[in-house]
Amino acid sequence: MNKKVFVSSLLFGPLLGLSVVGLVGCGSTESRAPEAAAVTLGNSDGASGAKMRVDGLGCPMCAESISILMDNVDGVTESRVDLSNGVVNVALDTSVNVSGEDLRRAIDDGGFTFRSIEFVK
Amino acid sequence: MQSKINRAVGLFVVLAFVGREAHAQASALSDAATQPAKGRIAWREQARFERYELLGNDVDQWTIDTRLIYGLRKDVSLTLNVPTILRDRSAVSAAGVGDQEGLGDTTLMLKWRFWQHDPAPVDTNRLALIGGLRLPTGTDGLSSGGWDPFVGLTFTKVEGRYGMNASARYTASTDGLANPISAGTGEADLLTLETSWLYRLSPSEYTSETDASLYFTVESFLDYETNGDIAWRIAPGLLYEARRWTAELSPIVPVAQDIDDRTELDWGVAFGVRFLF
Repeated sequence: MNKKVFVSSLLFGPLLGLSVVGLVGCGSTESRAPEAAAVTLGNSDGASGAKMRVDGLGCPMCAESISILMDNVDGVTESRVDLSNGVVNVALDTSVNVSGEDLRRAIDDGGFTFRSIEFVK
Repeated sequence: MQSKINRAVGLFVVLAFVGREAHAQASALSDAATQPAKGRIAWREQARFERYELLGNDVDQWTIDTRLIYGLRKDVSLTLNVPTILRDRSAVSAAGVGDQEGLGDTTLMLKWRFWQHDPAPVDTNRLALIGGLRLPTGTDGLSSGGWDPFVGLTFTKVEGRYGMNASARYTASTDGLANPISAGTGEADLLTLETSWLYRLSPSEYTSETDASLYFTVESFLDYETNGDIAWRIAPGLLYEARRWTAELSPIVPVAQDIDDRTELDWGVAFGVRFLF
């Protein structure tokens, strides 16, 4: 086989395919982020839980890493990530005034995209 | 040699069961634009068996990669990779004199995720720049002997049941083995292109009760060296991923090889277990 042809087809074929898939994919998914601007932060003020919307979870293990990050936030007693809708439910110690900003930062430090938070009384 | 291999596999199993991995949707062998959270350490152990053909005889090689990844920032990580290599050349040397074992060259790598777009709860697109140095820390005969810099780009996309990773890496060789076995250990520079595709076999849709996924994966590796050697390998495999652990198995098959300056691969297999604590 002609080595130049072999190299060219194998080197640039996957890259071209990747570029097309990446660009088309990004374009098609952009419109599926209606909650991008819906960020509302605050403090728990005695709330028993919080519900956050997160994007970019990727997989069950990625989702579980959010639970670990949440465990490091003072006042969070339990957490559970629902992969079907990107909702992170956390139970809060009502005696601790948990900052919504701290919860958002934990999500951000994990490499995920925080969308919104709602404290539950 | 068999006892050494058994010890190595035993060590791998022990390390795997105490290891931690902070990111997934990454296939067994190829890179991904994912990294641990800021301030966290990921620990991954992986064993790989490869059979090469040298002068009509088999050369068996076990490689156990110990990889520590530290999240410097939410988008920057530092990776330290130390391979342990056991090479059985008894089929080539009747007395078994040619066996080699020891550490391979350590690699230090920085990964900077400079672009990310998360359009949906599971979907993500990430692009990262990688750069680093391969250090001549390996045992004689297993080390290239050079301080070899490398640079590259890696991309990850997850959309519904589909995932894809792709990366390109160029390694400049500053020294090399006279008779290299694997790509990149000789005196030629190496361009590696990796692509992996993942398809989630189960579940078809995530629910609030989903705790695990099973993926079919296909990985493609293209190694082009500036001495003209080129090899294309694929690795179809399975990846089972629970919330706290994963298991992966991928046979490695050479598709095409045009090699003059090193040894051709017959076949290989990689397997690993990762845990998240």
